[in-house]
Amino acid sequence: MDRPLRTLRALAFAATLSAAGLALAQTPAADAPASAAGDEVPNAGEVVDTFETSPDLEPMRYRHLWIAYSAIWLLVFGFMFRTYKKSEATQAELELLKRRLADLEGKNGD
Amino acid sequence: MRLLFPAATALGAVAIGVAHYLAFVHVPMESTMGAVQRIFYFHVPSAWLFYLGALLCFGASLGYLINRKARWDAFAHASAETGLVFGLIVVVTGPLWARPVWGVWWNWEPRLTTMSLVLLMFAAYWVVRAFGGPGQGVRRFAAVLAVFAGPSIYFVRVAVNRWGGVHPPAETASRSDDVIKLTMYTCFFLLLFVFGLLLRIRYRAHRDALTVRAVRRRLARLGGI
Repeated sequence: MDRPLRTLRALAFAATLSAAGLALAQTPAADAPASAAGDEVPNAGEVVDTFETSPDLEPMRYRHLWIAYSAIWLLVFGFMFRTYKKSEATQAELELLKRRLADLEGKNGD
Repeated sequence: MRLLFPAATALGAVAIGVAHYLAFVHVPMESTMGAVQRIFYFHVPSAWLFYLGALLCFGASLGYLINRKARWDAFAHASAETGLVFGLIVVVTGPLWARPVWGVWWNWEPRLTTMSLVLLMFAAYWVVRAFGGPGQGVRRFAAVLAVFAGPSIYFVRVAVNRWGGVHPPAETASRSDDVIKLTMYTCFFLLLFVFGLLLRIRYRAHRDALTVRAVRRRLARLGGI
């Protein structure tokens, strides 16, 4: 396997562990809404025509929505791209090996 | 038959477009969380697809341990990888939803903790497969790991109802307003289609790798390598 890919994987693994460590060490933010304390939200899961915006949280809600969907498609297309590259390399190797095998079998048959 | 896969891929692209339309345009704003609630339309189905990938990997690994056919192992490998992608989507989008709603990125409550543990088990499976090489011992070890990791999904599923915590319970989707419920289930079926396509191309890649190894062995016997 390529060395840069191994390094990338090791870095991704280290980043995951660091994120878990940070999550463990964090404390609730000052702008935490009531539901952070585990309170029941009375009308959760209902849709509304008008939505009362919270000026502090509203930009964060949109920003996080955007980041979340970007991350989703980065992961899905990253996986597809990696699979495509792997398939391409495997197919090329298979063709080469089959040609070599056909040559060798032809020689042995002569 | 040759056109089947490109047609399915095109259909997958349409499915993705429809899922986005439903999540961003069709469904109205939710009353308590606002825009960030729209993460749920991909977060929740991704969690279900992670469970599906884990269970498929469990079943195929069990099959491999019983009959030792490389195809079962290739399917288990592909299922674990595809499931892991959806599991990663869950743990990436979850904190992005939690920060504006709970006020924290992460909370070591039962659902999140059990989910991270099962995800780490499948990450371990992936590390073993990626770095362990193609040997039979590695395949057997990975299969045993998957057989232990698969049923752990049960603990993730029941965590909220059994042990409480701040995570919304599993029934939240079915208790929600009809339009939210319908959008959630439609997104699930559309993403299930995408999951099927990804699983299929990954499985095909592993099958091709098996063929390469078989041809290599034959060449070695004939003295070509």
